[in-house]
Amino acid sequence: MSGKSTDVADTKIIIDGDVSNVKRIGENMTAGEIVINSDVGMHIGNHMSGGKITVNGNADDWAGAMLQGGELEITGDAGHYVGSAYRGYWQGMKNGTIKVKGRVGVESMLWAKSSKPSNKWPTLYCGSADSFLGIHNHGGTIVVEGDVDRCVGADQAWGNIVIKGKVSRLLPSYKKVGEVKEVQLPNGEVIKGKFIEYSGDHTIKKETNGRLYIAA
Amino acid sequence: MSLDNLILLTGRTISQGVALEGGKASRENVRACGICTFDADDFKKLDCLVGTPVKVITDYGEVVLYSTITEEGPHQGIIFIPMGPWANQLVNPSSQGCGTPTYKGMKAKVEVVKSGKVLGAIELIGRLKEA
Amino acid sequence: MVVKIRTVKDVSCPFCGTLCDDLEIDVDIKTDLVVEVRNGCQIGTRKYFSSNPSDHRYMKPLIKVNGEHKEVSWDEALDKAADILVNAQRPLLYGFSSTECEAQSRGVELAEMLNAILDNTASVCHGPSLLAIQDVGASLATLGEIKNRADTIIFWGSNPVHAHPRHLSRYSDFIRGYFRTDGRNDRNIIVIDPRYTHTAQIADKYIKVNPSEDYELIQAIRAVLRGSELDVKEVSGVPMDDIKELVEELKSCNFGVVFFGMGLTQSLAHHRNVDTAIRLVAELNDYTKFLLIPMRGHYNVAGANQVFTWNTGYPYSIDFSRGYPRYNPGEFSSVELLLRDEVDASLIVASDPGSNFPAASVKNLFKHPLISIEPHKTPTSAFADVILPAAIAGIECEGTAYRMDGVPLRLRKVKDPPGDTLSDKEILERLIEKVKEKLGE
Repeated sequence: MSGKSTDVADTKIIIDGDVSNVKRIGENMTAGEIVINSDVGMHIGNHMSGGKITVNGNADDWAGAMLQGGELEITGDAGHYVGSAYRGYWQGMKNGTIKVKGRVGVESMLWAKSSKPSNKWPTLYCGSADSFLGIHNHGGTIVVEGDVDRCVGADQAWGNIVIKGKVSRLLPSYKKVGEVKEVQLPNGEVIKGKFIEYSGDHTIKKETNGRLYIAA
Repeated sequence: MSLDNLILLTGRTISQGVALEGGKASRENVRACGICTFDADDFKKLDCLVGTPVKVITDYGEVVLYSTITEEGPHQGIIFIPMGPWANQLVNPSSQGCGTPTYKGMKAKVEVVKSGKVLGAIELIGRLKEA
Repeated sequence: MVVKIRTVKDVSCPFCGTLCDDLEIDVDIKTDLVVEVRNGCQIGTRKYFSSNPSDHRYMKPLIKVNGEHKEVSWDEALDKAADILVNAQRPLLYGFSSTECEAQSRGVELAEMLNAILDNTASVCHGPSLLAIQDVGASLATLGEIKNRADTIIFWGSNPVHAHPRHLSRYSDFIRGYFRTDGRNDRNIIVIDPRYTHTAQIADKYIKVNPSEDYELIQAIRAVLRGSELDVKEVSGVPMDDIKELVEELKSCNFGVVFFGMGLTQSLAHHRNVDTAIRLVAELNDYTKFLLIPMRGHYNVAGANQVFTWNTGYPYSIDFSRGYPRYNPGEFSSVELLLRDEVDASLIVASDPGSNFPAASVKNLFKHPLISIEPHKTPTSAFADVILPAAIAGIECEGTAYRMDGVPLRLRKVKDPPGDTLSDKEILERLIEKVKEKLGE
């Protein structure tokens, strides 16, 4: 540690050395920046509402759990439950962005919840994903560069999941709608490319606004 | 003499329950739990007699067990081992973050080992202590 | 020679979650041995007989000296055990499901004192059910309700013929109830399982599902129930027509119940299988009365969850390392902790993780000091540093236990504990005293 700070937003913390078993770095963070040049333990940036955390390495489970805002970037892989709700909560990540270069584990973006009136769009970008990505999704946006394991978007009420690779086993409760040339995300971003559009999850409602786009 | 692409399930059987109450170090426990039950058609492909020791191999370990034909079939492509020390040499310890290991549904393969010995519970678990 | 016997009636059987409370035990007055068990299943009967002294029953406290177990006094054994626990940084207290509630609450007390990790066997069996219930709630009932009313009974991933032998005859299948006067003939039994189990063989309908694909099947059933036409012809090995037929059957019954077991909680997707099953049951209530009940394994694992919850707020996988309880299965559950090698001493109460944990975690369990409170020789106690011989709850001491549906029942004492054995509760109380001394409280 070095330097003085008067304002949280001006604070930048750089962590070198092994913190692969240190939990809860950046918990409840509101502003400023943390850079970690190592693998990091569980619960990195949980309940964070502002600022930025960069992990130059892999993160363990529960990275960015219950995120309320801000940005979390992981250059390696992340564990299970990235940007998820903690046990028993039915509103998890409400705003902010998580970017994972590598793979995210199971049940990432569990119970994500967006809000149109207050313009909050929780978003996850990842390289590839394990099973149950975006389960119980209530408006979260997920963009996957690569492949995804089984049960993506299970019990999704509404929200958008874009997959540029393949899905190992699509849920039977998703129905094909048609083909699209580009996908407009609620945060304004446009993703170009040919996608097959699916609606679901039809376990929640017969007609649903939940959308899943898989590269054609 | 070997089978690939099987799926391993584990679970309770009544003789396993009786044997564990009767003493876990007993031979009765080996006869109840140190077994691998096959579907009848799968077993024909192994070309051996019932009771011949087989080695079951998964990504997580291997163990020698007595072979037997299931009463709860047909279940082609599935092998069943009663829960206990033998089954747990083979199961997937990963819980996918929920705390409960995946005791069912591992990919497995089976080889007949004519000279294999099925270890007793204490002996089998004892190998983990030395290692 | 005339054998004089004493008969104890209405005994609750301490084996499985069914907790049958109608056993009759004959005890020889002179020798205090169990000579006859009536009404029990094979397993329960065997449990009573195995309480008689035998070569695998521990009678005196043992300590491991130079690799051999040596008989010592209670004081010496408890002193050694307390030493191990007090000197450990992150001790694990595990088990508790095969003992009575009073002993379990002493376990909570000890864990809090030691800033330890407290876990029960739900963490390797029905823990996922509890996680799912915390996420989406559950519509549960007592077994009496099922006995008197249920006409459609689904066993999903459970095999009561083997695991809960008297469940079918006492509560769910053959028994006559107030509204089910003709017993078995008034009930429609459906079994969903990858194997054609013995339960499936006596059922009215058997659906063969591919292993580890239950989640997809339940999702398809729910979507069909919502009135959606699906694109697929087959789900998890079950043809779409069969799913539609099943949905009609479920909608048209009077009172349905889903009993689910390890088939859902121990296969891939774990608590999500239960999550979607609970929602299916909730949605079926738009049409008819439907409930679900988890098929709990140990006779008092439900009690362990109750006791832990009313003491700490959480049912299992509790970490006291900060002085207050924290809960997160996956982070603080025994198997995961052992896999990460975070535990440096363990106290096992009435359980056998050596047999029942995956090999990789057992390896790490054996690396560190191990204390076992256990009546019998097991693959865990055989490698323990301290063995504290216990009386068997429900046979040699009294207590309370919770049935799988959450009904508390009194366990009876049918005979005196043999040798120097003490009840789990008393052992833990004495251990607490020792630990208090060493902590200087």
